[in-house]
Amino acid sequence: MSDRLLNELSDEELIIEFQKNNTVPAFEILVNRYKNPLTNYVFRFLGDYEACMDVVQETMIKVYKNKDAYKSIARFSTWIYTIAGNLARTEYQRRKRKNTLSINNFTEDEDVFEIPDENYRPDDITDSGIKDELIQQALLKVSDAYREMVILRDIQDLSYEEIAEISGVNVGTVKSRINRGRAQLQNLLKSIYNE
Amino acid sequence: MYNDELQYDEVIKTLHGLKQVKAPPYFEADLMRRINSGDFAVNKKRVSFFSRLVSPFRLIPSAALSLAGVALLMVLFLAPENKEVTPFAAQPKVIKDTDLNTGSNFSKNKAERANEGTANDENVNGNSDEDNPNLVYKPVYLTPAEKAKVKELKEKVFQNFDSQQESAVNP
Repeated sequence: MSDRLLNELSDEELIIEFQKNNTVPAFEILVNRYKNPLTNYVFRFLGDYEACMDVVQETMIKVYKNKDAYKSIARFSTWIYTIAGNLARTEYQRRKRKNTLSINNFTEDEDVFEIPDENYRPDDITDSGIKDELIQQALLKVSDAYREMVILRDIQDLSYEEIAEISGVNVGTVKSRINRGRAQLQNLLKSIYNE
Repeated sequence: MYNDELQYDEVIKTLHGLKQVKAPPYFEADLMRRINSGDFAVNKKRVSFFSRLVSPFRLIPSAALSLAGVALLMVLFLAPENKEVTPFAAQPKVIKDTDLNTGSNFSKNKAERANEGTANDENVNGNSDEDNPNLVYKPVYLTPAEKAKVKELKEKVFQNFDSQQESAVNP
C-alpha cells in the first residue's frame, strides 16, 4: 500500500494494517499524528520536557511492540492516551519520590509543601513568556488525578466519554474531578486574572 | 458548553491559550533508530532493593565480613582456659614450712609439728598427704596372733639392721 493511501486511512485502520501486515509506514504515520498531542499532554502533566520526551518515546515503542494488544472495539486515540497516561503517572511518581521532600509528617495541615523540580526548564518550552510559565507552575500544583483530567479536557479537547475510557472511571467522576481541578486552578491563577 | 464549563470559563480559556508543546524534529528518526536497533529500554530496568542486596557484588563482601566476625568471636570467647605454660618460664612454688638448709622440719617428730600446727606431712609440692586425693587410707584390724607376728617381724628387722650397722663400723 502506498504512503498516500495510508495517509488517508483512519487511526484504527492504520493500526490494523500494522497488526496484520506489519506495515511499518502505517506505524510511522500514527507516530506522526500523535507525537505532538502526546508531547503536549505529557509535558503539561509532568512539567519537564526531557522526561516528557522519554515517556512519549516509550509510549510509541509500546505501541510498536504490543500492536497485537490493540482491540478494534476501542478507539486508537483512547488506547494510546491510556498508555501515555499510565507511563506519565509512573514517571511522575518516580520523580516525586526522587525530587520532592515532603514535610507532611511534621504538620497536621493538609497542605503539602513541595520543593519544585529543578529540572524544569521553562526557557526551552514557553516562548510566549512568563504567563505560560506561571500557568504551567499552577497546573503542576493541582492534584494529580484532577490535573490529568483537566489537561485531557481543556488542553487536549477530548470528550468526557473519552476521558472516562482513558482513566477507567465513569463519566460522572470525570466531570466531578475536572471541576475540582478547575476550581483549584482558578484559585492558583487569581493573581494572573487580576493583572 | 456545559454549565460547569461556563462557571470556569476563564480557566478554560487560559488553558486553551497555552502554547502547544511539540516534539523535537528528530523525534521520529530517533524513535525508528531505537526500534531498528532493538534498544527498547527508554528507562533502564530498575533493580529492586532485594535484588541489589543479594547481588554477588554485595553478598560476597558481606559474607566474608560476617565470617571474619564469627572467627574473631570464636578466638576471643572459645579459646581454651588452661593455657600452655613453658616449664622453664614458670615460677617455682616456694615451700614455706620447710627449711631446706637444715631440714629441721623433717627432723621434728609428729608431736612437735602438731604443736606448731604443721602436723600434716607435706610433699615436695607443699601439699599434705591428706590433701592428696590419690592416696586412700583403709583401716586394718589385726588379730592378737597377727599383732604378735608383726612384732616378731619388727624385732627381726631391727636385729638385722643392728648387725648391718656393726659390720659396717667393724668390718
